[in-house]
Amino acid sequence: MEKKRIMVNTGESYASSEPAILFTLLGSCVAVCLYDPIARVGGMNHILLPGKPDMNKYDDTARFGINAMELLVTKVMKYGGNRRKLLAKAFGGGQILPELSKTKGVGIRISEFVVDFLNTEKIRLVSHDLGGFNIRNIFFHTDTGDVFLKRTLAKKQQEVIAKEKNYLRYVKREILEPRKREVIIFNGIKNERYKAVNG
Amino acid sequence: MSKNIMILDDSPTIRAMMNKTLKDAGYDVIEAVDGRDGLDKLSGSNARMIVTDLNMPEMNGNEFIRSVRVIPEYEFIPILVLTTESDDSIKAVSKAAGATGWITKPFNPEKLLSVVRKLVD
Repeated sequence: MEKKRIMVNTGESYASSEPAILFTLLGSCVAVCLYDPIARVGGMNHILLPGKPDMNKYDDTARFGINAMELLVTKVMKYGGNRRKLLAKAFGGGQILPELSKTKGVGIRISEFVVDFLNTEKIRLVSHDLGGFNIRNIFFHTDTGDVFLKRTLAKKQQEVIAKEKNYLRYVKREILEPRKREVIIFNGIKNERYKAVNG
Repeated sequence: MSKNIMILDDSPTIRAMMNKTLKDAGYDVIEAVDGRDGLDKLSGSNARMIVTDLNMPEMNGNEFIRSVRVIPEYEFIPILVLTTESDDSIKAVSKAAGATGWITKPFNPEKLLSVVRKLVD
């Protein structure tokens, strides 16, 4: 049977318990593939961070990255993956935005963040291809955990740089003026004695 | 009056982040990795409030909330759900299980503290 092919764009994550090929194109961005070899469930995200995440102070950038990783882990778990069995592979983080002085080294920062996060979460990073100056096409087979990587040189460079710059602008806005976070205080049941609170 | 807050999350990163936020605001934190661990640590904890994730390995958040609500001592303890879920049907399940409130992630320290203060103080 032909496997479903799904493109994972910047800022997205996707998981599947059906055999699927998740693919993406990476410049500075990093894609993390998570795979539970027993449940044969896999998922992938595609992340870009606007600055250096401070994992001691949990600044906006750190929280943004943590949320992106948590969304992926949660999705894989919802499709039956066991978080204690998860293996990780990570790709991308190329240095392709050299002309932006403020974002210099953005690929390296995201790579460091991902490695650090997986380490804290005790999720084993079984293979990776991070950094360098390449643009990467990656293809992740969710049923086997295999990842196929194809390096692309100049051809798609401008397209990828434009996309990533656009996304960086979006992320910075999102961090400055985050979309409304939902807060609900339920009434009724056994909680009557707690007064309603407005978000 | 105790300032103990129990937090449940299977992610060490999220626990560390919540722990720091609450400690910096003067609360004492009891960490649990899932519902089972939370139930084990609850008795004698003197907890004033619980903040729980939903998707966790051994016992998920909603099962945990149901189990807490049948313990007479904790029948009325405020329980806040902090989750990436935003689906209305899951909210309804949490509400029926006995959750006091719900915050959708991404995690925001000020938002969490404002709700915690209202429910604990």
